[in-house]
Amino acid sequence: MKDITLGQYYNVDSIIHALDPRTKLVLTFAYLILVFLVSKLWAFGLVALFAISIIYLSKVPFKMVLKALKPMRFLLVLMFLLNLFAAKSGEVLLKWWIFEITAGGIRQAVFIVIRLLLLVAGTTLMTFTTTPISLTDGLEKLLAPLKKIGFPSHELAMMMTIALRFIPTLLEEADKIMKAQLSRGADLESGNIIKRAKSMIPILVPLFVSAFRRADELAMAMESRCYHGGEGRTKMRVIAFKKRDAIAFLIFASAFALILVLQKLVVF
Amino acid sequence: MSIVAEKLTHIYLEGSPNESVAIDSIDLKIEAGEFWGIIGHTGSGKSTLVQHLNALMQPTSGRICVDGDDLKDKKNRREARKKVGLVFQYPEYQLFEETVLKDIAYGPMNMGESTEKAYEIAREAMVSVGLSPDEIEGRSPFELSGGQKRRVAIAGIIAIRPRYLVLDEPMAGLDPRGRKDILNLLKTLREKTGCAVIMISHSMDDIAQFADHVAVLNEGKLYKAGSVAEVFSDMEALRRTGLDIPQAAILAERLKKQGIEIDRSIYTVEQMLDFITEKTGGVSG
Amino acid sequence: MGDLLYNKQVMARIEIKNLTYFYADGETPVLDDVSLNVNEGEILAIVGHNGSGKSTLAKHMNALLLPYSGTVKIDGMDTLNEENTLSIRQKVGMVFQNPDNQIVTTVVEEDVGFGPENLGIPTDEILSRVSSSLEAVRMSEFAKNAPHMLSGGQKQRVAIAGILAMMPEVLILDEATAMLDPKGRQDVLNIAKKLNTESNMTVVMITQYMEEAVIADRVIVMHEGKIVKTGTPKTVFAYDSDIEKYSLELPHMARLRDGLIEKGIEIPHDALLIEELEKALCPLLQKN
Repeated sequence: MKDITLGQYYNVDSIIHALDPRTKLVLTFAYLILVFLVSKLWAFGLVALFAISIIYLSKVPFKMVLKALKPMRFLLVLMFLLNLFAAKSGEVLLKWWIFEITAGGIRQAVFIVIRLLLLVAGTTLMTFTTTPISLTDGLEKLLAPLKKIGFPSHELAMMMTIALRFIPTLLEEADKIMKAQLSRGADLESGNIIKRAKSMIPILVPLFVSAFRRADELAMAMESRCYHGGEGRTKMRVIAFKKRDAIAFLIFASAFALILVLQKLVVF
Repeated sequence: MSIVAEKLTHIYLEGSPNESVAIDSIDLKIEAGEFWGIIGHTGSGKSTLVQHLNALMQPTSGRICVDGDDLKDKKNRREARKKVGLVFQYPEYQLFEETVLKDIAYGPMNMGESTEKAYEIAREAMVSVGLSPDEIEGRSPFELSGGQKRRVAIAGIIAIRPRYLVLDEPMAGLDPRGRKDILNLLKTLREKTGCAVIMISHSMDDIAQFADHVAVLNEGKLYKAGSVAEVFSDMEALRRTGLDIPQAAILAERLKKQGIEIDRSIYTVEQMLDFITEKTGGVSG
Repeated sequence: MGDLLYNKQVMARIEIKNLTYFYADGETPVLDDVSLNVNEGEILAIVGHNGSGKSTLAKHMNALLLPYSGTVKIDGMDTLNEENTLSIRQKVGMVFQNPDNQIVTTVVEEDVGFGPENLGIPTDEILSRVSSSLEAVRMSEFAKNAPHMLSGGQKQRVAIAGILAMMPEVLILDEATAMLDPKGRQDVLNIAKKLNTESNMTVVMITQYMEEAVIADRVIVMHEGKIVKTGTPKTVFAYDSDIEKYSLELPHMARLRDGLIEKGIEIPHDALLIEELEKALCPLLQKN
């Protein structure tokens, strides 16, 4: 519990790390859309190739990305099986009792797995190459135009910052409270679900009480440091759209266009 | 009957790049009924050490035995939590029940006592921390003052009736009156029940005044352990570990430098007072 | 203006007149008709047991709490006037007790920049203020670290840097050392002392440790919402000062001094520091 790294920022210098967080947010979003638009196996190959070259440029070891995908393996298997049996289209290849495997089913199952893998790899890469705080900054800036229609973009970013700041503190605290109750003989492991849920009360109540106390004190500390919302506030770290961001947009746009156009033109 | 640590070692995140040795081959024997002070600068491993005493943490290597039972054995761990009561730092942050009575009874009930019996024990524990059950048992622990909350939390451990009471900086954050209350409470409790007290503290003054044994940790190692008089006789060695030397000891050192012969080790105001009155022939006053 | 007599006096940074304050229940006052000046360039220690009102008093000094009756003025600005609030908080910076609950962001240097950002300071200047503030508390090497990985004492130093970056005139330490180990406490005190001597920073120190009050220029003892004693540490902790009456205890050396005086040994009644006792005791002990 001593070292809780939040998000999973991988600290190296690379061209991807150096990009404006807004660029990364927008391009990741575009990439997500692309993954959903692609519907041919070889086109997925192209997308994967593209993703792999970006990972290469980011200097994040492939091993790290694979490690990030590992927790998904059960979900992947589940999604695969679900689609395999649920989607029924095309030729029936296998039939046993109520189960039926169709060509369309296989196709869909394979696609869903590939899509999920590509989605997670892409978003993971974003968190590997962008600190949570600059993500927050980027999000605040991106959403800033919405302020005109009353969207609280500054408040949202501040909330995210505070959450990021306090998650490790509260995790540590939860660990401590748990140990304190274990010292009082708490049994958190045995019994049925209801009993176990009940045994969490002595941990959750103090944790909430403490979170409220912290919130209260933090609010006071922020106020005493002249915090009064986003109005008239300057930024210590200015994020700037640079030439490399423009290049990134161009490369992504051409790659995406190429993949989509090819997919449309090539018949198989 | 004793708590025995043999070559006790704990390594955090072993094998990872962030691995750090919290405590390193500690050998320590705490007999039933003793009052131990544990001192050391922040990060010296004090908290890690005490969490091994009631099996909240398992040693990476070495072993820890409570009354002869090795805590490696899972069966012995539960028993160890009954025998070794651990009061965490700022223990008031673990209060959760609607009433003081229920909160203090939580421990004994977990240990298998009937509700009725647990309440009885809880009331006794309230008295031993200097709270009046009639006044306080029905109140919410959250509406008490800071010092009272602290005492309720300590009562919650006392109610387990531990043979060894371990406290991690029980006076932290209290005002002078509150600090004194807690120290006196521990003293009386030990006299009455005969339980051992093991207290982490930053205040060498408090340890000098209340403990009979002391263990000094430095960078995860046991730097010194023994009777208070023995360990505190070498202030220079303690200063090297970054500890805060009692003012009386600093004064004694300075007087020595001025050529004054001091025939004993002095580290409390009372000892200094005795020494000076003796030396000056005890001009009566 | 132009009044020679007035100019000779020390300037009061904070003027508190007949301040009374109640909590919501409104029965017994937490602060009861308190009047007090905090003078430019002094270190003022406010001591008192839990619930004596000392922290409530401190929170009036930067408009976190507003008087129920009476006035609090900072450089002549009334805290009751909402237009003054931001300037007052810029002038009077406050460090709180719990180091964890006053650091807002996830990187040390960004947290130091939080105050200046709120004040609308231009980016370039924020950066230079942040680096000089971290320098002043000797935390520059931790500029890029995550706050939750620091020790309590280091966190408090970051909190002080966050205040310094707002360029205040008064620094209030509201029991800022209560949760620290001796080393962390000493570090915080040394920094406060240094800011006072080198930059003429006015420091108000709320504390339960009498040993800390010893370094102040002036000590105020609070009890049940009232100021019951005020003076230099030497007078407040002098022999027969009856400070125990207010649930406080004397600093160690004062306790030794009183014990010796009671035994009929001659020691100056206001000796307080180790050096003073050493000086008084040496001739007595050498004689024998």
